[in-house]
Amino acid sequence: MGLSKKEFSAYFHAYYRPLCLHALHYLGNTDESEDIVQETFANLWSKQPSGGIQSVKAYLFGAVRNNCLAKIRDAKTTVPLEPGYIDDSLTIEEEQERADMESRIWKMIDELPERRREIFLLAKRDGLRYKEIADLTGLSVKTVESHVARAMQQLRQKDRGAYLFFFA
Amino acid sequence: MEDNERKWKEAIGFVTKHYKENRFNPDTAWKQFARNRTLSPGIKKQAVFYRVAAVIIVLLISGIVYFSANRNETLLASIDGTVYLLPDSTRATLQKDARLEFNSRFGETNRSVKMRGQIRFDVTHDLRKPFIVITPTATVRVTGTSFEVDESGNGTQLRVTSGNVSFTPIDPSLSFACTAGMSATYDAAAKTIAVVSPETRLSVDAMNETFAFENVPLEDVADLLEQFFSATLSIPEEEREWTITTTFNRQDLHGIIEIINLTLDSHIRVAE
Repeated sequence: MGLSKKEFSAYFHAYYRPLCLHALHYLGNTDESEDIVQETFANLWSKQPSGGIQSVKAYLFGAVRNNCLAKIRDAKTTVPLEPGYIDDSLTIEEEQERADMESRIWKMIDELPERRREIFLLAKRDGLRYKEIADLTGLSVKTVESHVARAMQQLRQKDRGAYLFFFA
Repeated sequence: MEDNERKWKEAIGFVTKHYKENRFNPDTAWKQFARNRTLSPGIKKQAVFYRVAAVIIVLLISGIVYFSANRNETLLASIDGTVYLLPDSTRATLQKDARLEFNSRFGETNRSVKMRGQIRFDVTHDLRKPFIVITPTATVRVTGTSFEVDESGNGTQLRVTSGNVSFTPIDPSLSFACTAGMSATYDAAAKTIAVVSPETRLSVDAMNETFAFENVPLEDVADLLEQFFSATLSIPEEEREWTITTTFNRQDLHGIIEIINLTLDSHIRVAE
């Protein structure tokens, strides 16, 4: 028995972001990661493996991993990978757990107030010093520091909450 | 506990390093997924196949219906005097090698036929749907009458037996009203038109800009000149049936009118 439209849509919405982050560890590129995940979902939909799938989540994570490795193999001379992205020591379950956590963090950053998100990313993603951010945004260094600290606190609290909700 | 803290720090480091706004968004991706794959999410491949097949079948049937409804009927005569009765009861008499073509919907919205060769038509009267004969070099339009069209490849000749027939060569596109006993001949290569009745003769040589009138009523002269020069002429009512016999060669409209007025003491005027 294949997946119904409703089931497929539910899986897509539940696993799309974690799968993208899973792929991002292999490919290091957001565009390529999304492409791989979309392809994987397209295959799931069109092929609908015979006999059904016991765990759709496990199937998707495995398929994304295999597709990423195939992509790296096919383009290894042209796609440089930053060392440390692929951690061979992790089991597939650990990879899934990591992707889930990263997915929650990604979503929480999405949900930060716009100004706070901007300052947080300037500091943590772009590596700017607080003084540089203050000059750039016209805020005081203290305010910048406060925004970054509050953003970290928000993320930590929310993720802890989610972690306890799921695993406690 | 320390392990979790380490994992969390690694995770936040990894995410912030790669974070881009509006990326990895399942809602946006779902829409893109459907659009890029030209696959409405949830429509199974098999269902897509059946839908495509159904659309093809419907198109095929519609096409067959459309083309059968709009197919062209072609009548060919292998001997002189071959008679066909068209759907509107118009009688077409074809001479040898004549060809008559009309749409299978002839009579529903129009009565238009295409022809080659020589064909005589006895047209069923229908004021609402003029009967139109199209040859490669002229168009004949009637509401109900008898006439004969001879299409030779170089031109078209019309001979009217009864009724009123409008004859319009392709170039110059001038319309002539022909009545019983009249004939109109068009030579496409020379661009000449001659309209002849038992009492009159009117001819146009478009290449040499020559008009020849023999006993032609002023109203017919004016009608021709109006068309040729895209002008409007006014003729006093009592002068409309006066006739003129003359030839004009490469003269402009005002010159022609002046000569006619001087010759006949008429009062034709060019409207500004």
